[in-house]
Amino acid sequence: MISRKYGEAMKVKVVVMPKAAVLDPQGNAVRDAMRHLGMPEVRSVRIGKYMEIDVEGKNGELESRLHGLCRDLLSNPVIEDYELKKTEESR
Amino acid sequence: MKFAVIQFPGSNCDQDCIAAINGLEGLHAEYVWHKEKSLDDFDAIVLPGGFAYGDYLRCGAIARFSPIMRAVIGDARAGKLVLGTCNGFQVLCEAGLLPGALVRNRSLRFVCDMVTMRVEVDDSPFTHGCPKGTLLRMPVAHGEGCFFANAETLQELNANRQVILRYADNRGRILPEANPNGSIENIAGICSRERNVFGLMPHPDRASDARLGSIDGTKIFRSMVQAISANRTTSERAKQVA
Repeated sequence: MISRKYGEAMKVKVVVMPKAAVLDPQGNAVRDAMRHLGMPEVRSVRIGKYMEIDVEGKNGELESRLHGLCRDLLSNPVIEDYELKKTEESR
Repeated sequence: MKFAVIQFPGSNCDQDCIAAINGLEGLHAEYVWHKEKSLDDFDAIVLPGGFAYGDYLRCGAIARFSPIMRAVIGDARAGKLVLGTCNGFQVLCEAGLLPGALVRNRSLRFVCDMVTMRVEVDDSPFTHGCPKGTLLRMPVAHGEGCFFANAETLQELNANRQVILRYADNRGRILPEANPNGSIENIAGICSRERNVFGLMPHPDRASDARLGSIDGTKIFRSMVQAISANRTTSERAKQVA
Protein backbone atom coordinates (compact mmCIF):
# COMPACT_ATOMS: atom_id res chain seq x y z
CA MET A 1 0.00 0.00 0.00
CA ILE A 2 1.25 3.45 -0.90
CA SER A 3 1.86 5.60 2.13
CA ARG A 4 -0.69 8.36 2.37
CA LYS A 5 1.92 10.59 3.90
CA TYR A 6 4.52 10.50 1.17
CA GLY A 7 2.69 9.15 -1.86
CA GLU A 8 1.32 11.30 -4.60
CA ALA A 9 -2.40 11.92 -4.66
CA MET A 10 -4.91 13.78 -6.71
CA LYS A 11 -8.28 15.27 -6.06
CA VAL A 12 -10.80 14.76 -8.76
CA LYS A 13 -14.05 16.64 -9.16
CA VAL A 14 -16.85 15.02 -11.09
CA VAL A 15 -19.94 16.92 -12.17
CA VAL A 16 -22.87 14.91 -13.51
CA MET A 17 -25.66 16.81 -15.27
CA PRO A 18 -28.93 15.63 -16.82
CA LYS A 19 -28.85 15.83 -20.62
CA ALA A 20 -30.76 18.70 -22.17
CA ALA A 21 -33.45 16.39 -23.55
CA VAL A 22 -34.15 14.87 -20.12
CA LEU A 23 -36.86 16.48 -18.08
CA ASP A 24 -35.56 17.91 -14.80
CA PRO A 25 -38.66 18.46 -12.64
CA GLN A 26 -36.49 19.18 -9.61
CA GLY A 27 -34.72 21.99 -11.46
CA ASN A 28 -38.08 23.37 -12.61
CA ALA A 29 -39.42 23.38 -9.04
CA VAL A 30 -36.36 25.29 -7.83
CA ARG A 31 -36.62 27.70 -10.77
CA ASP A 32 -40.24 28.44 -9.84
CA ALA A 33 -39.28 28.93 -6.17
CA MET A 34 -36.57 31.41 -7.16
CA ARG A 35 -39.04 33.35 -9.29
CA HIS A 36 -41.52 33.41 -6.40
CA LEU A 37 -38.80 34.71 -4.10
CA GLY A 38 -38.34 37.84 -6.16
CA MET A 39 -36.10 36.82 -9.01
CA PRO A 40 -38.29 36.63 -12.13
CA GLU A 41 -35.10 36.91 -14.20
CA VAL A 42 -34.29 33.23 -13.60
CA ARG A 43 -34.72 31.44 -16.91
CA SER A 44 -33.90 27.89 -15.94
CA VAL A 45 -32.32 25.73 -13.27
CA ARG A 46 -30.76 22.35 -13.93
CA ILE A 47 -29.83 20.17 -10.98
CA GLY A 48 -26.97 17.69 -11.18
CA LYS A 49 -24.52 15.99 -8.86
CA TYR A 50 -21.09 17.03 -7.71
CA MET A 51 -18.58 14.53 -6.37
CA GLU A 52 -15.14 15.02 -4.85
CA ILE A 53 -12.91 12.01 -5.14
CA ASP A 54 -9.58 11.58 -3.41
CA VAL A 55 -7.25 9.17 -5.22
CA GLU A 56 -3.90 7.66 -4.28
CA GLY A 57 -1.38 8.10 -7.07
CA LYS A 58 -1.35 10.33 -10.08
CA ASN A 59 -0.93 9.16 -13.65
CA GLY A 60 -2.70 8.87 -16.98
CA GLU A 61 -3.65 5.25 -16.45
CA LEU A 62 -5.49 6.13 -13.22
CA GLU A 63 -7.26 8.91 -15.02
CA SER A 64 -8.48 6.69 -17.83
CA ARG A 65 -9.78 4.18 -15.26
CA LEU A 66 -11.61 7.03 -13.54
CA HIS A 67 -13.19 8.02 -16.85
CA GLY A 68 -14.31 4.41 -17.27
CA LEU A 69 -16.03 4.48 -13.90
CA CYS A 70 -17.59 7.85 -14.67
CA ARG A 71 -19.28 6.23 -17.66
CA ASP A 72 -20.19 2.92 -15.97
CA LEU A 73 -21.11 3.95 -12.45
CA LEU A 74 -21.03 7.65 -11.62
CA SER A 75 -23.20 8.68 -14.56
CA ASN A 76 -25.74 6.97 -16.79
CA PRO A 77 -24.90 8.02 -20.37
CA VAL A 78 -28.53 7.49 -21.41
CA ILE A 79 -29.66 10.46 -19.33
CA GLU A 80 -26.55 12.25 -18.08
CA ASP A 81 -23.29 13.85 -19.14
CA TYR A 82 -20.29 14.04 -16.88
CA GLU A 83 -17.26 16.25 -16.57
CA LEU A 84 -14.11 15.22 -14.76
CA LYS A 85 -11.69 17.82 -13.46
CA LYS A 86 -8.35 17.14 -11.83
CA THR A 87 -6.98 19.43 -9.18
CA GLU A 88 -3.32 18.51 -8.79
CA GLU A 89 -2.28 18.08 -5.22
CA SER A 90 0.89 16.77 -3.66
CA ARG A 91 1.11 15.83 -0.05
CA MET B 1 -40.75 -25.07 -12.93
CA LYS B 2 -38.41 -22.99 -10.81
CA PHE B 3 -38.18 -19.19 -10.64
CA ALA B 4 -35.34 -17.31 -8.94
CA VAL B 5 -36.14 -14.15 -6.98
CA ILE B 6 -32.97 -12.11 -6.56
CA GLN B 7 -32.43 -10.48 -3.17
CA PHE B 8 -30.29 -7.37 -3.18
CA PRO B 9 -29.57 -5.57 0.07
CA GLY B 10 -32.54 -3.20 0.11
CA SER B 11 -34.95 -5.32 -1.95
CA ASN B 12 -38.33 -5.20 -0.22
CA CYS B 13 -40.75 -6.91 -2.58
CA ASP B 14 -38.84 -10.19 -2.65
CA GLN B 15 -41.36 -11.83 -0.29
CA ASP B 16 -44.28 -10.53 -2.35
CA CYS B 17 -42.75 -12.09 -5.46
CA ILE B 18 -42.13 -15.42 -3.72
CA ALA B 19 -45.70 -15.50 -2.36
CA ALA B 20 -47.22 -14.55 -5.72
CA ILE B 21 -45.26 -17.15 -7.68
CA ASN B 22 -45.65 -19.95 -5.13
CA GLY B 23 -49.38 -19.29 -5.13
CA LEU B 24 -49.56 -20.53 -8.73
CA GLU B 25 -49.90 -24.19 -9.54
CA GLY B 26 -46.82 -25.93 -10.88
CA LEU B 27 -44.58 -23.04 -9.99
CA HIS B 28 -41.94 -22.79 -7.35
CA ALA B 29 -39.88 -19.73 -6.43
CA GLU B 30 -36.69 -19.49 -4.40
CA TYR B 31 -34.67 -16.60 -3.03
CA VAL B 32 -31.21 -16.10 -4.51
CA TRP B 33 -28.87 -13.83 -2.56
CA HIS B 34 -27.09 -11.23 -4.69
CA LYS B 35 -23.68 -12.67 -3.85
CA GLU B 36 -24.47 -15.95 -5.58
CA LYS B 37 -22.86 -16.50 -8.96
CA SER B 38 -25.04 -18.98 -10.81
CA LEU B 39 -28.68 -19.25 -11.84
CA ASP B 40 -28.28 -22.49 -13.79
CA ASP B 41 -30.92 -24.29 -11.69
CA PHE B 42 -33.67 -21.85 -12.62
CA ASP B 43 -36.06 -21.56 -15.54
CA ALA B 44 -36.68 -17.84 -15.09
CA ILE B 45 -35.33 -14.90 -13.10
CA VAL B 46 -37.28 -12.20 -11.23
CA LEU B 47 -35.71 -8.94 -10.03
CA PRO B 48 -38.05 -7.61 -7.33
CA GLY B 49 -38.94 -4.11 -6.22
CA GLY B 50 -37.34 -2.18 -3.40
CA PHE B 51 -34.41 0.13 -2.95
CA ALA B 52 -31.37 -1.97 -3.81
CA TYR B 53 -28.28 -0.46 -2.18
CA GLY B 54 -30.47 2.38 -0.94
CA ASP B 55 -30.83 3.53 -4.55
CA TYR B 56 -27.73 5.63 -3.87
CA LEU B 57 -26.32 7.54 -6.84
CA ARG B 58 -29.21 6.42 -9.11
CA CYS B 59 -31.83 3.71 -8.75
CA GLY B 60 -30.20 0.40 -9.63
CA ALA B 61 -26.80 1.97 -10.34
CA ILE B 62 -24.92 -0.02 -7.71
CA ALA B 63 -27.07 -3.17 -7.80
CA ARG B 64 -26.15 -3.76 -11.42
CA PHE B 65 -22.60 -4.57 -10.29
CA SER B 66 -23.68 -7.21 -7.74
CA PRO B 67 -22.01 -10.59 -8.36
CA ILE B 68 -25.31 -12.24 -9.36
CA MET B 69 -25.78 -9.72 -12.17
CA ARG B 70 -23.09 -11.43 -14.21
CA ALA B 71 -25.26 -14.57 -14.20
CA VAL B 72 -28.42 -12.55 -14.88
CA ILE B 73 -26.80 -10.87 -17.89
CA GLY B 74 -25.28 -14.13 -19.17
CA ASP B 75 -28.56 -16.05 -18.84
CA ALA B 76 -30.53 -13.18 -20.41
CA ARG B 77 -28.19 -13.18 -23.40
CA ALA B 78 -28.70 -16.97 -23.64
CA GLY B 79 -32.46 -16.46 -23.88
CA LYS B 80 -33.73 -17.14 -20.34
CA LEU B 81 -36.81 -15.17 -19.28
CA VAL B 82 -36.01 -12.25 -16.98
CA LEU B 83 -38.71 -10.13 -15.32
CA GLY B 84 -37.92 -6.87 -13.51
CA THR B 85 -40.65 -5.14 -11.53
CA CYS B 86 -40.26 -1.59 -10.19
CA ASN B 87 -36.72 -1.40 -8.78
CA GLY B 88 -35.97 -4.56 -10.79
CA PHE B 89 -36.89 -2.66 -13.98
CA GLN B 90 -34.50 0.13 -12.94
CA VAL B 91 -31.70 -2.40 -12.38
CA LEU B 92 -32.31 -3.97 -15.82
CA CYS B 93 -32.06 -0.54 -17.50
CA GLU B 94 -28.89 0.34 -15.59
CA ALA B 95 -27.42 -3.04 -16.55
CA GLY B 96 -28.09 -2.31 -20.22
CA LEU B 97 -30.43 -5.31 -20.60
CA LEU B 98 -33.26 -2.90 -21.43
CA PRO B 99 -32.96 0.40 -23.30
CA GLY B 100 -33.81 3.80 -21.79
CA ALA B 101 -33.78 4.90 -18.16
CA LEU B 102 -36.14 5.64 -15.29
CA VAL B 103 -35.97 9.13 -13.84
CA ARG B 104 -37.72 11.19 -11.17
CA ASN B 105 -41.51 11.30 -11.51
CA ARG B 106 -42.60 14.39 -13.37
CA SER B 107 -44.82 15.36 -10.41
CA LEU B 108 -41.82 15.03 -8.04
CA ARG B 109 -44.16 12.99 -5.85
CA PHE B 110 -43.83 9.38 -4.79
CA VAL B 111 -46.88 7.69 -6.33
CA CYS B 112 -48.61 4.87 -4.52
CA ASP B 113 -51.74 3.97 -6.43
CA MET B 114 -53.61 1.42 -8.51
CA VAL B 115 -53.03 1.97 -12.23
CA THR B 116 -54.54 0.61 -15.42
CA MET B 117 -52.39 -0.51 -18.32
CA ARG B 118 -53.25 -1.51 -21.86
CA VAL B 119 -51.58 -4.54 -23.43
CA GLU B 120 -49.92 -3.36 -26.66
CA VAL B 121 -48.24 -6.60 -27.69
CA ASP B 122 -49.89 -9.97 -27.11
CA ASP B 123 -47.25 -12.33 -28.50
CA SER B 124 -44.51 -11.61 -25.96
CA PRO B 125 -43.53 -14.36 -23.50
CA PHE B 126 -45.01 -12.15 -20.78
CA THR B 127 -48.42 -11.38 -22.29
CA HIS B 128 -49.39 -14.66 -24.00
CA GLY B 129 -52.82 -14.88 -22.45
CA CYS B 130 -53.72 -11.23 -22.93
CA PRO B 131 -55.14 -10.18 -26.29
CA LYS B 132 -54.03 -6.77 -27.55
CA GLY B 133 -56.07 -4.07 -25.82
CA THR B 134 -56.58 -6.07 -22.61
CA LEU B 135 -56.61 -3.79 -19.58
CA LEU B 136 -54.53 -4.84 -16.58
CA ARG B 137 -54.80 -3.31 -13.12
CA MET B 138 -51.79 -3.35 -10.82
CA PRO B 139 -50.41 -1.13 -8.05
CA VAL B 140 -47.47 1.24 -8.47
CA ALA B 141 -45.27 2.56 -5.68
CA HIS B 142 -42.28 4.57 -6.83
CA GLY B 143 -40.60 7.97 -6.89
CA GLU B 144 -38.45 7.36 -9.96
CA GLY B 145 -40.59 5.62 -12.53
CA CYS B 146 -40.70 8.13 -15.35
CA PHE B 147 -39.49 6.20 -18.38
CA PHE B 148 -37.15 8.15 -20.64
CA ALA B 149 -35.57 7.22 -23.95
CA ASN B 150 -34.11 9.46 -26.62
CA ALA B 151 -35.95 9.90 -29.93
CA GLU B 152 -33.91 7.27 -31.73
CA THR B 153 -34.37 4.61 -29.01
CA LEU B 154 -38.06 5.41 -28.79
CA GLN B 155 -38.48 4.91 -32.49
CA GLU B 156 -36.71 1.54 -32.28
CA LEU B 157 -38.86 0.49 -29.32
CA ASN B 158 -42.00 1.23 -31.31
CA ALA B 159 -40.74 -0.23 -34.59
CA ASN B 160 -39.68 -3.50 -32.91
CA ARG B 161 -42.90 -3.71 -30.87
CA GLN B 162 -41.00 -3.65 -27.61
CA VAL B 163 -43.53 -1.50 -25.77
CA ILE B 164 -45.63 -4.17 -24.05
CA LEU B 165 -47.73 -2.02 -21.72
CA ARG B 166 -48.89 1.60 -21.66
CA TYR B 167 -50.71 3.44 -18.88
CA ALA B 168 -54.34 3.90 -19.91
CA ASP B 169 -57.62 5.06 -18.42
CA ASN B 170 -60.32 2.54 -17.56
CA ARG B 171 -61.62 2.69 -21.13
CA GLY B 172 -58.21 1.89 -22.57
CA ARG B 173 -57.41 5.37 -23.78
CA ILE B 174 -53.79 6.46 -23.61
CA LEU B 175 -54.19 9.83 -21.91
CA PRO B 176 -51.86 12.11 -19.94
CA GLU B 177 -54.29 11.84 -16.96
CA ALA B 178 -53.72 8.09 -16.89
CA ASN B 179 -49.95 8.50 -16.68
CA PRO B 180 -48.86 8.27 -13.02
CA ASN B 181 -45.26 9.41 -13.45
CA GLY B 182 -44.78 11.31 -16.71
CA SER B 183 -43.32 8.38 -18.66
CA ILE B 184 -42.72 9.19 -22.30
CA GLU B 185 -45.65 7.97 -24.48
CA ASN B 186 -47.27 6.50 -21.34
CA ILE B 187 -44.81 3.60 -21.40
CA ALA B 188 -45.30 1.28 -18.42
CA GLY B 189 -43.34 -1.78 -19.53
CA ILE B 190 -40.90 -2.72 -22.29
CA CYS B 191 -39.11 -5.85 -23.43
CA SER B 192 -35.72 -6.40 -24.97
CA ARG B 193 -35.30 -6.70 -28.72
CA GLU B 194 -34.98 -10.48 -28.27
CA ARG B 195 -38.21 -10.29 -26.20
CA ASN B 196 -36.99 -12.41 -23.27
CA VAL B 197 -36.26 -9.55 -20.84
CA PHE B 198 -39.23 -7.55 -19.57
CA GLY B 199 -39.37 -4.62 -17.17
CA LEU B 200 -42.36 -2.73 -15.80
CA MET B 201 -42.85 -0.20 -13.02
CA PRO B 202 -46.17 -1.63 -11.71
CA HIS B 203 -46.18 -4.66 -9.41
CA PRO B 204 -47.53 -7.98 -10.75
CA ASP B 205 -46.44 -9.42 -7.39
CA ARG B 206 -48.86 -7.17 -5.53
CA ALA B 207 -51.69 -7.99 -7.94
CA SER B 208 -51.73 -11.75 -7.47
CA ASP B 209 -54.30 -12.15 -4.70
CA ALA B 210 -57.99 -11.23 -5.09
CA ARG B 211 -57.96 -9.84 -1.54
CA LEU B 212 -55.51 -7.16 -2.73
CA GLY B 213 -57.90 -5.94 -5.41
CA SER B 214 -56.50 -7.54 -8.57
CA ILE B 215 -55.12 -10.83 -9.83
CA ASP B 216 -53.93 -9.41 -13.15
CA GLY B 217 -50.32 -9.94 -12.06
CA THR B 218 -50.81 -13.70 -12.27
CA LYS B 219 -51.39 -13.30 -16.03
CA ILE B 220 -47.77 -12.20 -16.42
CA PHE B 221 -46.40 -15.14 -14.39
CA ARG B 222 -48.70 -17.67 -16.12
CA SER B 223 -47.66 -16.35 -19.52
CA MET B 224 -44.01 -16.90 -18.59
CA VAL B 225 -44.84 -20.52 -17.64
CA GLN B 226 -46.56 -21.06 -20.98
CA ALA B 227 -43.63 -19.57 -22.88
CA ILE B 228 -41.10 -21.74 -21.03
CA SER B 229 -43.18 -24.92 -21.58
CA ALA B 230 -43.64 -24.13 -25.27
CA ASN B 231 -39.94 -23.48 -25.65
CA ARG B 232 -39.12 -26.81 -23.94
CA THR B 233 -41.45 -28.72 -26.22
CA THR B 234 -39.87 -27.10 -29.27
CA SER B 235 -36.33 -27.86 -28.16
CA GLU B 236 -37.23 -31.47 -27.28
CA ARG B 237 -38.77 -31.92 -30.73
CA ALA B 238 -35.67 -30.44 -32.30
CA LYS B 239 -33.55 -32.94 -30.35
CA GLN B 240 -35.72 -35.84 -31.53
CA VAL B 241 -35.40 -34.68 -35.13
CA ALA B 242 -31.64 -34.35 -34.75
